[in-house]
Amino acid sequence: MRTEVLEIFEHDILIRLITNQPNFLKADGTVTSAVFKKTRHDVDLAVSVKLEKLIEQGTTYLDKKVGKIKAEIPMSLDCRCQHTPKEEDYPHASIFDMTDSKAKKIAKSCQVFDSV
Amino acid sequence: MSYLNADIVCYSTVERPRNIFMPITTKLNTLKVKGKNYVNTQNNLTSSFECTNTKISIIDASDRIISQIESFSNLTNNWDGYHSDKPTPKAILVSIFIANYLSEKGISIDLPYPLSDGGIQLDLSTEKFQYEIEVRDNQIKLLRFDSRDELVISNIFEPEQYDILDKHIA
Repeated sequence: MRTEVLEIFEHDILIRLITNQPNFLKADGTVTSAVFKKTRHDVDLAVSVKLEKLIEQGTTYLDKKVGKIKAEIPMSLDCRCQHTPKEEDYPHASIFDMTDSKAKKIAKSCQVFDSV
Repeated sequence: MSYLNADIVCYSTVERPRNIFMPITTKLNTLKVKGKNYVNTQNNLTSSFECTNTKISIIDASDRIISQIESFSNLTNNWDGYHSDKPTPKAILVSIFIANYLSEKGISIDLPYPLSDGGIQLDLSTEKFQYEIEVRDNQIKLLRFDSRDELVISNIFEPEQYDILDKHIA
């Protein structure tokens, strides 16, 4: 099992999986801020994401779309981004210090794809 | 849903809408049905429409939103793969009350979304601001954002106070 913690750079892409149902896509193609609001089960109330560079290109997820944001977006909003690998999910990373306003801005810059 | 069988004047990037759903946020210059204009000064539709080759249908925004909120009761825990809680019955009920109440006041919810902690978020926008209404068992939080997505006001209400929300929406 890989446990090495990698540094996240501004140019890295972070992935948030988005359910197809319920629909989180707005009419203008952006996602709602609800996608980036904290889950109370997440580590330190951070938002769980994945580091794209650790996932094979073309990977798809059942019943989910792939939301991509550049790490520089949350970083520029003073959100700490950290690689937080899990035993069953090595690419797992976390966005800390999320607020309602930051979630809205990050959601606006999120691009949605069918696969990684 | 009501059907309008009539001559349609519609100018948009979709030159001749057919078999498409046009949500209320669709940008159009003109949509006239039976002489009535369904586009506001911001070039947004005043209702959602469903267009086929032969007819155009107004979709009652309130009915559509309430159906979507009701459908959240079918979600189970971990519905998003991030260990989220399923929406609580109270959050669903209060959200329906809010959608109904605001609709009566002429304010339409754009879309409802479940939140990861069992709450529900209702997004709506006016000419000046964007709003997010977070509905949870113990409170309603109304967030107002300006055009730069800066949070300008955050109000907390008791769930039973849903009938004063319209006074805080500009």
